[in-house]
Amino acid sequence: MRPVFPFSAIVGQDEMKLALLLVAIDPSIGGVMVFGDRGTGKSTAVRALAGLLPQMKVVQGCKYGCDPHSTTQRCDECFKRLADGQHPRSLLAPVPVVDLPLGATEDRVVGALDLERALTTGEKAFEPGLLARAHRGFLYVDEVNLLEDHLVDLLLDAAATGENVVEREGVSVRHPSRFVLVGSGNPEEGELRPQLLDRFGLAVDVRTPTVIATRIDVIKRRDAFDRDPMAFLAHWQKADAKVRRSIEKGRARLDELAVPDEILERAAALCAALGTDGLRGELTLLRTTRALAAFEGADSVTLEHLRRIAPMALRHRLRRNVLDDAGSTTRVERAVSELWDAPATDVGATS
Amino acid sequence: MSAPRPDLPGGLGALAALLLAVDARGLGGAVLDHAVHEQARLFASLVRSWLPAGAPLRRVPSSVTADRLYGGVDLASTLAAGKIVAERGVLAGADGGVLVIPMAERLNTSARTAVCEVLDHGEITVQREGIADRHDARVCALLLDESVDDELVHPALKDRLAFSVRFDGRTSEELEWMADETEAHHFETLVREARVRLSQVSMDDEWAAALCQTADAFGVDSVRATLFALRCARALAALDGRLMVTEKDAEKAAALVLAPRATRLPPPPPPEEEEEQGDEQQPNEQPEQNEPEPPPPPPQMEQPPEPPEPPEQKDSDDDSTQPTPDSGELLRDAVQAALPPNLLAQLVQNSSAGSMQGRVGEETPNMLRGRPRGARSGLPRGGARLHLLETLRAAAPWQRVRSRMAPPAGAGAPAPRVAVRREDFRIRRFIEKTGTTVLFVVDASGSSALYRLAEAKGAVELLLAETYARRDRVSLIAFRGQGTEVLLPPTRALARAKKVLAALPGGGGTPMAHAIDAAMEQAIATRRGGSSPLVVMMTDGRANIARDGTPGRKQAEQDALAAGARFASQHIPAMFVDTSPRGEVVARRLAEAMKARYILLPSADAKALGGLVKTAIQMAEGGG
Repeated sequence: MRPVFPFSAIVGQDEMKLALLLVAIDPSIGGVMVFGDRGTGKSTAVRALAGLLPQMKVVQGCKYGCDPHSTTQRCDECFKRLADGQHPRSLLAPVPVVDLPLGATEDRVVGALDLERALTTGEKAFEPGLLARAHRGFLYVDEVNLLEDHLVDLLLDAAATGENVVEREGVSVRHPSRFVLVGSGNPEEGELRPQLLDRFGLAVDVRTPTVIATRIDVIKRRDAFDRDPMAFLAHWQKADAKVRRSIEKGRARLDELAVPDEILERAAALCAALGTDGLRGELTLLRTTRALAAFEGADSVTLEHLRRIAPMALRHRLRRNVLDDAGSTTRVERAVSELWDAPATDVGATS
Repeated sequence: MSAPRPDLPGGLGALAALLLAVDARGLGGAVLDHAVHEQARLFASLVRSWLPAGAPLRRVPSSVTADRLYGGVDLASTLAAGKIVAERGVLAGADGGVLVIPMAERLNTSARTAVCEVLDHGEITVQREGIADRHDARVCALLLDESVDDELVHPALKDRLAFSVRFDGRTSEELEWMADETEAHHFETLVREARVRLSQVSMDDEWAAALCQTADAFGVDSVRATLFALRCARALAALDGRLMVTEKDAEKAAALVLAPRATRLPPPPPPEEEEEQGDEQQPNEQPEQNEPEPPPPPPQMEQPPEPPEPPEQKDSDDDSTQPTPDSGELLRDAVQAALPPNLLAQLVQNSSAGSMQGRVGEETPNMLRGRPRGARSGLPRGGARLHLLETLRAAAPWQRVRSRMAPPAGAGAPAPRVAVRREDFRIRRFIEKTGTTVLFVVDASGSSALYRLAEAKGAVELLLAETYARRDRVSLIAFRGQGTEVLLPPTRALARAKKVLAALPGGGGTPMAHAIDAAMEQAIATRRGGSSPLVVMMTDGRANIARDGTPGRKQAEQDALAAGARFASQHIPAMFVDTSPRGEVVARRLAEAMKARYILLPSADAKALGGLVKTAIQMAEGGG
């Protein structure tokens, strides 16, 4: 295992880090799309997250890593076990962070007939693919905007249903595949298919730091890591552990936090003002706001929480004016301040 | 510095070769800028010869297939063994050595991302055709940039390579000198020692800061570039037998790494601010003080870079390891001196081209022709390629039965491990990228009147937005006066379409017949290119220039209707947007002749129009 740059050692890029932490706390937010310049540490952050996540309980011997506590999301075998009244042992396993390389082929993504076993023993066995491995974890696609359309279709399908259905070469398998999709890419090199973009709960922009002092820090840390990874990891271990604890606490707190109606109304008004399609925007706002409050240990969910996450939850949903060069972040922020700071009139802003 | 060391080459190109051999992983590699074949080969073989013994040198031919690049199923061994035997691809095969990529500007997307992954992580992940694997691939990549015109080596690749080497006379001379028998051994020892020393070379933090500042001053945004400069400075020190980075190293590193990446020139240093220059002790307050917001490149035109002489070898050995307050300034000069000669021209060009530096053109053809879409049964002949894995998968379930049914292997020939029959053969299927190309044919004539033209433009923009969301291609054709003009050949660059459209002038007659002919030709050409065309005519339909170019309403209208009928005979999906205020009878008739869907613009609001084009595109895809 090659050493991974520690999450807490990443300089700046606060929004990206926050977005990743929030989906780690509440995976139902959806994925994170990271737009950004080259060389801004997009993939570093995602890989770093992998090293940070608390371990999860899995059913022992289950090749899909089913959750022993879940009664609904299970693979066929685990369903059978459940029906038979068995209680298989569970063990701790690291949360998978799976890379989907652009050159991947369909059979490796969805899984296929295990050829070796088929040829040697004549057994018809299924060899799980990346969608199986990513279950309950993260699926990372670097340069996701360049992903072949037929692979995108597979991802969309699995992401929409939460399961992977394989019907090929006489294999008929269905297994749960719930993952947080994390994509990164440089929009200048190819547009993202709207359906896929919509799948991402959050979108963040990363930019090359403009403050020289920050850049110097980035360089120095990266250099220190490259020269002596072990010492560097040891140095940041504590900080990483602290982040891990805050994820754990955040998760535990998530269920206790109720989102007041006022927040829901504001979220709806915001979506209406920005003309975002569908309910997805509102739902994401709601979940992300709650996750932020949980992450920060707040007693209640406040408007301030909503305000802070609004740009990342909505900026990629404004598709009305694609040829407009005005930044979408600006548009979200403008809408927020119009709604918030205007003398308290009632909801009902229409564009 | 005890033993007498050989002189290092004074030119940057030859020096880059040495540095790559010292820290291949850290520096990634180099772009060899328009090198002649022999030069590139010499460069590559020199780097390899200085790497540890046994270092491979692999070329990636432009015809490389994904399975050879990533690694795939080893046909012979798999059949012999009766189980999947993986074979390392070119990338993994180059592990520990040199990877040469000729015609790097032609590298397709999937190969490019694979190379990027290798450069980032020193390994390649294989998730293909039954194989899930990870191979070490610590390579020094040499990209041969042979681009002409607008085909460029992809910026994502360039960003991951420390150097860009220009083959001027000096570089070639020095490379040959280093390859010379008498010197070869010399340099090999030098590099080997430097490699050992490298991990111990330390660097004053201030030099790192100075390099950051220099990068910023020259508009080098990528963090990777600065890291390369840092590593390069260390490698230079190691090469020179020192354990401490000096000013000389930092200067040279800046010249080697940062200069070729410069996107702007720093403003001339105002003398009184000079003492603040390198004073990076107070972090947040001072940066960019003498560097207001990124100054647009052109204004600095009056300050041409120094002639492109490589910086002279300073003989004076002022090995100051302590940066002086104006260390940033010194680096700046070094970069300035090493700037490529045509930088200014490039800067001007880039800024006029909308600052999108290094924009690559249309998607290069995929190495597999079209996107792979699984396999189907069939025999691998007539250009069809065998899909080995799928073939084996098809054969697998039958193995038991077949071995039982097989005639007793008495005839001497041993029974094969895997019995593959004719019906098992699977061949690869590809789908050519089709998609829709929306051809906008816009009436810019006087009758369309300027204010109508503005509305038409607005409508086109809306439609552009719609096609953009769907990733279709668009093309713009305008007609007025005597003829038609293809303003924009099919493209996905929507921003460009918008710009062209905005600049479209109006006035003149309405050569309707011409326009319909042109639309038809384009549509047919589009179809031939494998894409489904959708023609969107935007006009009031009031033709007044006949086919032969003579003015006259009557003849012109007849010609237009005739052209419309021919158009209809081609079954090209079309939309006719009538831009006249209340709708013209002629327009409606023309639309009918073309078998185009007729829409009156004033009654179609933005939303409706978007919806219409959506359905029209679906229609085009379904029917076309």
